[in-house]
Amino acid sequence: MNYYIINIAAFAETDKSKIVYLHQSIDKTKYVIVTTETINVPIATFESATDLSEYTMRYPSVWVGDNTGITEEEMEDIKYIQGI
Amino acid sequence: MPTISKIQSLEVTSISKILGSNYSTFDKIFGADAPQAASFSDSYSVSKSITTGTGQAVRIADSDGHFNFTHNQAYTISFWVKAGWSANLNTNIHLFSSTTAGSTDSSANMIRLFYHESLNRLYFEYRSASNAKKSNFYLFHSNSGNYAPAYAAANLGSTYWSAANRGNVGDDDFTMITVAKSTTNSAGSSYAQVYWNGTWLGNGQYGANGTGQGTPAMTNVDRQISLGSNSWNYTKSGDSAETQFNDLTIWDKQLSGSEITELYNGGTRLDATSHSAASNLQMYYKFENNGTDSSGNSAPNFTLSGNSNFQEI
Repeated sequence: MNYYIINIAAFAETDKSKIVYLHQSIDKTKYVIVTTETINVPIATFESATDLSEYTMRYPSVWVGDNTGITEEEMEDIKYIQGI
Repeated sequence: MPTISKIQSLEVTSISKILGSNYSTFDKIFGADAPQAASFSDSYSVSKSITTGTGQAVRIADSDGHFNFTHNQAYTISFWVKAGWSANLNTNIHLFSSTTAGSTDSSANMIRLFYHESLNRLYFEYRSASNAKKSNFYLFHSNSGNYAPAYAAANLGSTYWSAANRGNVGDDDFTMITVAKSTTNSAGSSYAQVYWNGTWLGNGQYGANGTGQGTPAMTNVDRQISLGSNSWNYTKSGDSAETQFNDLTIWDKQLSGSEITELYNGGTRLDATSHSAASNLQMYYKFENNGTDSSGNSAPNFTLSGNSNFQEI
């Protein structure tokens, strides 16, 4: 599994069928993405769900409105489903 | 309620039920003393602080034998919620959550109902381990396929659920959310029905059999229970304004659709001890300026900490 932060342009190029988890930033300019695809030009790459989660918790105001962050459990449970 | 002072020229032989009423003003029925009805007032709710942590929680720290449902037991959990979160929450808010008492493990005999604002999904899930879980979710903004019943029941339209768009509500802008689970180890719609007010939300995303991973095997240990946050680290409590909760009932059976309609009572909260399934009522919290149990089973009290408080409706 691959863990990234990407921008809108990169998201447009992703293979949506390979996305496991997707979360858009509050300002709608960036995405946290967990995917089986390798993305060549991400904003940031993380080794694990733990690292990605901890990053969002360091910058919660970018990602969530409740000053928490994105938990590993959310990445596992809130499945991306294309179109909804 | 209207007062009936006289029924003239009629012989009333019996009154089988007075729904949701206060009949304390009946002095005599055929010369007999009228039974003293338990008073039911509905003036307060619980307002959950948006600040996180145990010190801000609305919780029962230890269910003390009164809440320990497993994967193969039937139960119903119902509560009223008045959304306080905004359309910028961009994460989830936990409405009801329970895990093993004293544990910080999110997978420890967990049962939860949570709403994911940025996706407009209401989830029901239970689990015994991170790889042993069952769930289903209900989507509110699509009027097609499995989603159509939830779309109609909530009536949120294309805008997501928040304080600015509460959809179909009962009295005082509260919505009654209910999950009624059977003895089958599944969160699918054939086995665990979720309701918005008195209306079934349909099959949900994962249909009759739901989804999951592994086979949950929960144990009947005591639980900690929270409203308005998760129960393992007391986060995910919303943003902007506090969300309010009222009249939590927990039953040891899967209530039927008609029994949930009866509990919804047309949108007016009723005294659950007068419900036709009251013998199955295990825990009952009216939150009338206190966190005491009104089921008659002496279940533990809810405690409110920090900025969480009882609030006049």
